[in-house]
Amino acid sequence: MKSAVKINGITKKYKDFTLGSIEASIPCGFATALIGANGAGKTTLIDIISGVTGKDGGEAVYFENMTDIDSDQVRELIGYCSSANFFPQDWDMKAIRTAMETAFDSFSPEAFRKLCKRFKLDDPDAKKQKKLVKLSDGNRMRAYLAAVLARDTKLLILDEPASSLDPLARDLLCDMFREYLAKGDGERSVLFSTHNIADMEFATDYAIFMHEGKVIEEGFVEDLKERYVLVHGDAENSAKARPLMISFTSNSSGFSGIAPAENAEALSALDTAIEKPTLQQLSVGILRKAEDDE
Amino acid sequence: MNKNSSTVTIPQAMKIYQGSSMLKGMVLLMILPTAILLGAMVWVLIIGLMEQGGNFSATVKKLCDSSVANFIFGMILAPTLATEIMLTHDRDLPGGKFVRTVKGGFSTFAKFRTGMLICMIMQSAGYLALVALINVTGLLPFKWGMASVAATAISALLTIGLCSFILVIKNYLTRSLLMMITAFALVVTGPLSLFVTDGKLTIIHLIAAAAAVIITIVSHKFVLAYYKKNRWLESR
Repeated sequence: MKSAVKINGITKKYKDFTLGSIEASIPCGFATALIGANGAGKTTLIDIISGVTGKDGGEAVYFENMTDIDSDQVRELIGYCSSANFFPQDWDMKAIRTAMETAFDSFSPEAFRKLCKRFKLDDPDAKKQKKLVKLSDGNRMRAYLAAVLARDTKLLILDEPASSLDPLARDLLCDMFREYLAKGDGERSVLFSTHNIADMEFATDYAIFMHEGKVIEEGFVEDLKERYVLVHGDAENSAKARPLMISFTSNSSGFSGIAPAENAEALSALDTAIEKPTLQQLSVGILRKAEDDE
Repeated sequence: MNKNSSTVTIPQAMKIYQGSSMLKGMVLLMILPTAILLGAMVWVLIIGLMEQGGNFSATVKKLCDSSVANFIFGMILAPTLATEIMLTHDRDLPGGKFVRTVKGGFSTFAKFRTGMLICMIMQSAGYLALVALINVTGLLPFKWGMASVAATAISALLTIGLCSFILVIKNYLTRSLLMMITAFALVVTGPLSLFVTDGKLTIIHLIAAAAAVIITIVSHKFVLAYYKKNRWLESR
């Protein structure tokens, strides 16, 4: 399968945190979610891939054959947006348009105007406009997204795009991911980090789980859902079920958690209910196991 | 579709970093010190007039003799210059991540800094021309006349050059404080020197002017090299 980005052994060392060595692949033509707890290294990895932060080792291969993120060719193909303060806060939509159309040949002012309308932001041509600093967090993020989505790119890299959006805007964002991918005819990809897994599940094809600077699991969401099962059972069976599960929570009436699919049969024998997990449930299970393993 | 980074010109780099044209940015930057200058002038004149019982010529003469005005116009320029020198778009400041992803990358940043240097010089020149006009028209004559303006121009350039070295300090708060203090201290050295030379421009001033030009060029290049090596892609 073609990769939008192939990450080969990327490392980055800080005083208090080490990323990597990361080996992962962002599949081409799909939306990939980077999932992990705070401090897992998601933003650091995204910043390295986007050329915002330097790396200590390893390399990222973009679109199968390009490795230099500093080349204008790669920059034009990647649309990146951070989770906060992406633009100077004294800018308005007009300033964003002026900067973006000068900075990127792939930026379309007309597409930007339409996106501003869709996101209910000021028209970039309007005489009176609100500065970013006067907007709510959600509207600021909408402004960043309008700017980045107005470019004709092959890869979108978005750090926590949904965190400050309301549920309706998150839904719109999922739709936009789908539209973006559909227009690319299999050549466009999206990589985003998120904590709002439930809201973004509809937009997620592939998931990469991170913990303490390492990738602990990755795969297509549908494949992951085949690899793991969600288990519910009565309290009396909890002691026998626990060793078969990767994550486990219990109370006086029963227990639940995630287990590898190969243990489903043994768990069924314990009079448990086996279900297909949602991405949210899967994420909690995988990340909880990583914490427990520490 | 792909343009080479060398096609990003200085005005384009300014547009990318400021969201508006270089000229508009320069005009906006000039508005603040000019407004403060005019405001300060009116304020000083009102105080003077009150003290002199409404006698305008006596007020102007007193202000001229006191040499206060010589320092005021330089001190108004200092914070503006310090603020502009501080525009380094650190990675974790608003806009810092955006500018690291744009066409040309660091070379666009270097062009922006060169543009800012041009802006600071033009802005200082424009501002000091206005000050000179105020002096020449007799609206508010300075004790040492045009020598004051020339000496402030030299110290302004020296401020731009020397304060740029402060950018190597990584801590933002320390850097900002030191920048402001140094800018204020440096910008008044010009008018202060006239006390020593009895209001005359001497060879020392000429040497200082030449040194200021060299220091400004050296510090500009040094800061760019330092920033590329140590700060452009670093954080935490």
